[in-house]
Amino acid sequence: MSSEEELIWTEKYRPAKLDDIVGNDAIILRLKQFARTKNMPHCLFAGPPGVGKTTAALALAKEILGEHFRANYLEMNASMDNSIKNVRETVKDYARSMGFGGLPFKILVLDEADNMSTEAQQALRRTMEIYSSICRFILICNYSNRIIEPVQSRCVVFRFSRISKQDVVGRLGFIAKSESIVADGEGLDAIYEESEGDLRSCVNTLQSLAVVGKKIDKKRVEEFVGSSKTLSLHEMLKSSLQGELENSRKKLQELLYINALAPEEIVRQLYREIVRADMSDGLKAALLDELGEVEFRLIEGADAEIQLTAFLAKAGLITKS
Amino acid sequence: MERIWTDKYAPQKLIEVEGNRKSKEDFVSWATAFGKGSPPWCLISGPRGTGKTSLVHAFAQENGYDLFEVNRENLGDSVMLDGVREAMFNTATLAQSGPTKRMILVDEIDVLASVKIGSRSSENGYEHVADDENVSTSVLLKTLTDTRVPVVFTLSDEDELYRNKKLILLKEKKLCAHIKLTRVRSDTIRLVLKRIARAERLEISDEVLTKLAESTEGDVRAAVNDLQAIGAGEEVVTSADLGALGRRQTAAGGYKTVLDVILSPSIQTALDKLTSSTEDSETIFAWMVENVPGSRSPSAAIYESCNELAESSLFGFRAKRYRMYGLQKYMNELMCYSPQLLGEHRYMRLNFPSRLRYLSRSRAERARTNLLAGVFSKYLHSSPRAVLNSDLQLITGLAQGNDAFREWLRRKFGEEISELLLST
Repeated sequence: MSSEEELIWTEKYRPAKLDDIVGNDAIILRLKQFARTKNMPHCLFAGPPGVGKTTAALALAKEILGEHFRANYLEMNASMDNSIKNVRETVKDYARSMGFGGLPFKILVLDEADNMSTEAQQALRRTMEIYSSICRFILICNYSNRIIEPVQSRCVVFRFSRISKQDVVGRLGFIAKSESIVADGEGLDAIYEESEGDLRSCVNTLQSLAVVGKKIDKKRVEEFVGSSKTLSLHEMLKSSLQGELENSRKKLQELLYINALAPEEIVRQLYREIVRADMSDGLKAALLDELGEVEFRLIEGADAEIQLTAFLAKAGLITKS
Repeated sequence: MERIWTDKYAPQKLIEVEGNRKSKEDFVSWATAFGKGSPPWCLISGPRGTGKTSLVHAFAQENGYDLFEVNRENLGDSVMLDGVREAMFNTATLAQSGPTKRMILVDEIDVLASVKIGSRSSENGYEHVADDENVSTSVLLKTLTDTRVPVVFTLSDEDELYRNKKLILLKEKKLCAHIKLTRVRSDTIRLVLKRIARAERLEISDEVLTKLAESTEGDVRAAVNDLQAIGAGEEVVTSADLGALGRRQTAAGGYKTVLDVILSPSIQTALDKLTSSTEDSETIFAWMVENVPGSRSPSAAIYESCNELAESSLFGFRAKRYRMYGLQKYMNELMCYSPQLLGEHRYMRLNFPSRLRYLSRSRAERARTNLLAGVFSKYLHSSPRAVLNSDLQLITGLAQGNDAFREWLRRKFGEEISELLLST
């Protein structure tokens, strides 16, 4: 890819240097130490989406590898089939081509490492051990508890936390200004609230809004979020609250199997939908209590359709009582 | 060659036909009232192996009826229809051979109605064809409307009565009485088996008899066949011999197993069905997920039931993920427990799992989005899933309303990708 201008803002405004990254200051400080000494251990970056894990990995690699970045840096996704086989083969290839560029090691970023099976992680552990002089790993995941202990113990674990509202809004303001968009503070606040502090999602929202108009305020943000939210999800919840389980199940199946919405995304949207709904606080609390349990179980690995169906059935029961 | 036990021990008298006492009485009243204003036809419906044909045979034998049978063997023979006509009208022969009464039995009318004449070469001897190609059943039925002797039809798939237009005459109340048989209770089947075992001097424990009786869900014939399969030529049968029995093959394995699991009276019997099934657990689970919430039970029961099923999936996931296969048994237990919570409303019409249906239907669309997600996830240093959930929407939006952006897409990702993106 050439050095021509990027048109998708999450890429265009992705910080190239560790210094430019907002939030997680303590972690960035440590990473800068690595960059200074041109050395790094295997790392595990854990944390929610949109807080800068990939950006930090990229920036760290760029600063350590310098002009040799392109030839010595590789990103792979662990949720792809055969990922561990690919990782091993890639690393073996590295071993053969060593010395290229006179660098001591290459950097391999393994995204969604928490999606790897235990078996694959065991294999990864051996690979990390054997080839650590040749290749350093940065594992990225949302849930570090899904990474087996032996792998964790071979890594320095960095837990990324949510970026503060101030930092997110500040960054959004910077982007807006650069793109000559007029956005008021309330509007940017609203973008932050809607995405639960996921900076990447915030930037996507900002760009989507900018497609339609150069002026952004709270009202427009709310309209956009309302319309972009999947309509059938709204109807699914509505039917379920009215005790029409069959209807609401049909919607759920459509969302899962036709729209191919990820279960986490459905939970996330349900959460927002409930928080903003016009209902008593008691009812809200009861629904959120249930939804929280659903989200937890999904992370634990429960079947999404039946777990969400149970929620829809329960929501009807809660409203009735 | 040894006779088939179902034949050897076929009931000779009505009283030997087990179960369905009320229906037997109804049948006797209908037959004895023939010619006195009652309908000339009688339809006996009920699941396979509940004694529909046996009932007619036993009644005819016991009461001195000469039975003319139309069945899969002679259907389509040109002489068959002549035989029917003769049986219906020809009273001359009756006079000569004494006070013989006649009865016509059209066995398995639902099967006959879907059989294509003259094509008996296929594996099971019949080929199912569309209604309009099938003339002979309607001709037969039309002929039979003028009958002067009682006509009995048997039918095992009652839905066929409403599906197949050729059978419309059977629904006319003035023409055709309707008697229904239900599944025979397993303790009744056990008695039948015990009687046969005794006659065959076969030593068999109550436990094995019970298992045999329960395993066929009210199908007496199947239970007797099973008994012969493991007991013929033996002196002693133990529960170890049960393992030799193969499962009856049915059209949709997942369907059958799930029905078994849902309807089982206890977790234990459900587990037996589940573990003896050859279907893979994912298919069975998909059938469960589709159908358990569709029960007509109160929503509280549905909720509990779904919850158990979700728990079950959690154990399945853990067993696989952490390779703790000992956890698999909890998955199975809870899967079997789940429908127990539905109470009385467990019987339901099973639907094919949506997840399997949609998967096959939307394959092309998924291939498209997966390809796009793959391409853009590389560019955005992100996972395909994240791209699918948020970025792809933005990119599609940008591409739709913006020439410059489309041009950029083409340069960066190629003609193909940019077209694929706009091809929704």
